[in-house]
Parts: sequence; structure tokens; C-alpha cells
Amino acid sequence: MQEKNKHTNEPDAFSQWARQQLENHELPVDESLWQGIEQKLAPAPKRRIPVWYWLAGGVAAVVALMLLIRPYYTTQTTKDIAQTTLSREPVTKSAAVSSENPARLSGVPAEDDILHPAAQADASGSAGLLNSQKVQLTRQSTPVKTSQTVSNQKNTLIASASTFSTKSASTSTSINTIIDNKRTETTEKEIAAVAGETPKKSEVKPAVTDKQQISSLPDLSDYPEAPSDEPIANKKKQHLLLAANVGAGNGLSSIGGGLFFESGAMSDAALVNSTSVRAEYAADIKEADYFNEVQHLPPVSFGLMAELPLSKSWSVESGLVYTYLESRFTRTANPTGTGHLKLHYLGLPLYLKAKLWHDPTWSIYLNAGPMIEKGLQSVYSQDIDYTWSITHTDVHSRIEGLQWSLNGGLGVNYKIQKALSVFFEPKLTYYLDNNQPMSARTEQPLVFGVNGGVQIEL
Amino acid sequence: MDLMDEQRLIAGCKRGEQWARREVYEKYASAMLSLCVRYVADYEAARDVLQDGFVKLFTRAEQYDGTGNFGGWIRQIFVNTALEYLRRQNRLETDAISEDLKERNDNRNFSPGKLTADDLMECVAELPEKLRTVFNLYAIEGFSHSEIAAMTGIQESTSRSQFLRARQLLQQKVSLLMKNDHAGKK
Repeated sequence: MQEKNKHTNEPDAFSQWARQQLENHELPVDESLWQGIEQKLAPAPKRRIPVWYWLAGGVAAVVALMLLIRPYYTTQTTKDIAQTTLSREPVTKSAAVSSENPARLSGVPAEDDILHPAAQADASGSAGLLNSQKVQLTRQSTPVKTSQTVSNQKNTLIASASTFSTKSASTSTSINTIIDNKRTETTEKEIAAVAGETPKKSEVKPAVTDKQQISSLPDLSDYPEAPSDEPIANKKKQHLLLAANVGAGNGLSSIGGGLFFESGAMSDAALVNSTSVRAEYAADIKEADYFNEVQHLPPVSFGLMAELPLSKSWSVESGLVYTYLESRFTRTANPTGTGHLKLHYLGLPLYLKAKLWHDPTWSIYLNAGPMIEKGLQSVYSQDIDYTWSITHTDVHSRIEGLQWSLNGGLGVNYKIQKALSVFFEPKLTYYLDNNQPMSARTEQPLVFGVNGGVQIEL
Repeated sequence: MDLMDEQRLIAGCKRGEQWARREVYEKYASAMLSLCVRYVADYEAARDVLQDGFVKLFTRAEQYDGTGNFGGWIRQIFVNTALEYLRRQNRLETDAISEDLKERNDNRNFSPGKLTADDLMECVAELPEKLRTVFNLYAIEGFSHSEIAAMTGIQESTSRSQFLRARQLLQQKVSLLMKNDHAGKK
């Protein structure tokens, strides 16, 4: 407190008298005042969840989403088959095989024995179904590995990967058959041949030898329908795409004006949502118009996006996007002061993407759609210099409500490797007025930004 | 309260002890309520300011470094809280007083008679907001005009002229009250 009688000029008699009367004057207080103070001092009921917890949760959610979606695509696109294509001649339904050594095939999941008709058709390069096929296959004597894929092989078969345990217990061979699980035509000879065994004499048919040609396939007309009768030829290879991106933007009217823009006429957006701030702090927080200079830094965001192809040209994108917004406030008049507002948002976009043009390396696309964002936390710090003291205020508060926006962009994608590409995406975003704390968005809702990142094909 | 007791209270407040807060409240609440009423004039609003001031005092007790008088530090918090309230109400917007007031120390023989502090409080409460604020800061709290300018954002010359205007108005009100009181007795 000021020293008494600090005036450069001695106060007049009236002022001295007034001071004597009022300096130590008291008014009665009641108990309700103290109770009110106690209530205001009570701790905030809600625990704040740090921003990084939200982010970690978001990333975990995306990863979980990817893991959930991936099996479906694996089923659709995996072409794990044996390295061997088998040469077969027609075999009769050999009940003897299973009866002779039923244990042989026991334990093998029925589905794993299936060579789906449609899959075979695909392998043969025909749109037809298996029961109309005669496929010439050759067998490779080398045992194959289960994990090998056929993406680089020609004349491959689409089927689920399967694993047999053959007589040679040590030989665990994975093959992909093209036989329905209800069929028993997967003869022991074939299995044995794959395992490098010699067929037994008691077997109905002689063992298939290497390079032996098969004139026809067994009659499969009595096979049950495939689970899907959609021609496989129409099924395109569809891959889920995972993208990590970084973006920045600026108010459209401020482009070219430097890294940040200075706000002229301010909106009525609040610096801090007063309902989420404890009363003793709310009293200290200045209104935005208390400051005569306001700078909004461009929003910076990064995210993880998953792209789900719908067709050759169309796909949908979604994921999680974290955005950081920062604003700086300065008051040059007395009492001088500064303010610093940092906002953290987590958004969920849903974009429709249309491929306009592409070649093996480049592609150009358009995307558009809404995004909903939830403010995770607002961090506001303020210093007001009253000369005789500096009042410092730090407020960490929740951000009420949701921020909606509409987004549209034109992007270029460049494939670096088979499954890895980079993209660059200029975009326009319009932020709806959702009563959010002051930021670059509330001052200039139409924002031009650029996104860039890497995309991985799963 | 001796120095030891005060140190004990301060330490208790810094630790957030309820008993210490309660003792500080009981010791200073009446005087601080009067201060708040003097600044904001409205009694109910003054009660709110008083509560905000105590909350601020208790939550920032650790900022008191012990170099100055504890009572003075508390008083400073309440003055500041009252000014914040007035700013939020936009009651401290500056507008220069057009009247060219010259300071005239023509009250050397001022005699208030039997006028009480409560009477004076009423007169101060009737002053316009900005004049009352400057009068309180300069005449009662003892701040200089340059300090008042820094605290309120007005020019130093404006602070000076507003004080003169406030004192002139207050003297008129006091004189009127004294006359009425005198006439009533007759």
C-alpha cells in the first residue's frame, strides 16, 4: 500500500478531514458474506483432463478403428496362396482318402480347404465361375511358406490362406486350395504330394506327378453356391489408406499479410468462457476490447486419417485432427498489458473424396465435407502492469460447445513407392459461429489453408 | 494483534488453513466492506466485491512476501478488486472534464461541525462514479495523480481536475447537509 501522505502537495484541510473520517470506517458484516466466500473457495467439481490425455486417446481410437476395419479388407484383397500351382487330373470323389486315414484331414478347418469357385475363376483370369472351368495348374515341389503373397505372381488364386498338418509332422505347409469345404476331392495324394510324400498303393488314384497335366477338373456342378455370386472380376482391389497430415491456415482476407494477421474490428467472442472459470479468476479476465492490438497466429493442425474406397473414383475419409490456435493481445495505453490465449481442439472430419485424374504415379482429387471439433482446453495468461503492481492471471478452462466447419480442397498425390505416397492439399474452410472463444476462426471464419502429409496403403 | 499473531495468520493463510482465513475475515471484513461501498456506492454490489476480494486474498496469500504491512497489502487487494469491478461495468471510461478548475485552498478554516463518518459516506456515494474513484484514490488512499493515471488509464491532468471537481462537489454536499442539520435543530 502507498505510504500515507504521499502527495507531493499537502492535502487540503477538507481532504484531510475526509480521510480521518473514512480511512478506518467500518460497516457491519453478516455470516452470509463468509458463507459466500467459502462457496467460492470450494474446489472446482470437475477434474480437468490434460490435453495430452485427449490426444493419446484420440490416437488410440484411430488405431483401434484401423484394426477393426483391416480384417475386412484382408479378406477382400489377400491373395496368399501357395507358390505352387497344382497340376491335377480329374479325380473322382475319393471317399477312400478320408476313410483310409480320416485323421489326416482332421483338425483342418473346413473353410481352409475351400477353394472358392469364384476365387478360382478370378485366378484363371476369367469372370466365370469355377464349375465351368478347366484350369491347368502346375505344381512346384518346393514346400511353400504360409505368409507368401501372390501380389507379384501371375495366375494367382484368391482364397483364404490355409494351413495343413501333413503326415510329415515337421512339414507344415500352407496351401490354398480351390475346393469347397463340403467336398472331399482334396485328395490325400495332393496333400501328400505337397508334403513330398509318396502316395500309398491303396489310394484310388495314382499320385499326381510333377508337371503332369490335367485334362479337366472334377465336375463341380453339385457344389453349393458361393457365398457371394457377384462376379469377382467386378471386385476391384481396394485398400484402406492411412494418412498422417500437417496443415496450417489463415483467414482468407489476410493471405499475403504475413505469418499472422492482426484483427481490426473484433467480434464479440470472449477470451475465456466465463462459465467454466472459477469466480475469483473470472473477475480478473479482461474483455478482448480492453486490448488495442490483437494478433492471431495461423491455426496449426495434424491428424491421422483413414480413407475408405467406395469405388474407383470415390472414397470417404475420416479420422482425428488436432488443432492448435494461438492469439496474442496487447494494450499499449495505461495500464499496459498483454494477453496470450492458446486453444486446443480435437476434430472428427468426414470427407467425400473424388479422384479427378490419375496415372500410376500422380493423382488429382477433390474432397469436401464437414468437420466437428471439440475444444479440449483453453489456456489464457494475462499480465496487466498497474505500475504499482503487475497482476498476472493464468486460467486453464474448458471450452464449451462444439465447433462445426465446412471444408473443401483440391489435392495432389504423388506415389513414392508402391504403398507410400505424399500429398499436398490446398483447402478452404468455413467455420460456423458456434460461440467459441476468440481465435483466428472467430475473427475470419473463411480460412485458406494447406495440408500436406504422407499416405500409407494398407 | 501482535506481530507474532499476524505472522501466524499469514502462514496459516498461505497453507490454506480455514481457521486463519476466518480470523483474517473477522479482522478486516468490516473495514473492507466500507472501502468497497465507498468505491462502488451500491451496497449489494459492494458485498460481491468484498467476497471477490477475500477469495483473491486467500488464493494469492502466498504472493505476500512479508516486506510491507499485511493490512496495507490487504487494502491494496480490495482497492484493486473494486477498480476491476468498475472497469467491468465500464464506469471508468475516461472523458475529460471540460471545466478548467483551479485548485483553491479556500477550505483552511473548514469546520465539519458534528457531521459523522456515515454522513460523509452518503455524500461520497452521491458523487459521480469517476470523480468518486479519483477522490477515494487520492484523498483517502493517498495515491499520487501519476499513480492514479496508471491505475485507471486516465491522464494525470484528468486525475487532477477530476479530484478538484470531486472535492468541490463533496464540499457543496457536506455544506448543504450541515445547513439542513442546523436548520433542523433550530
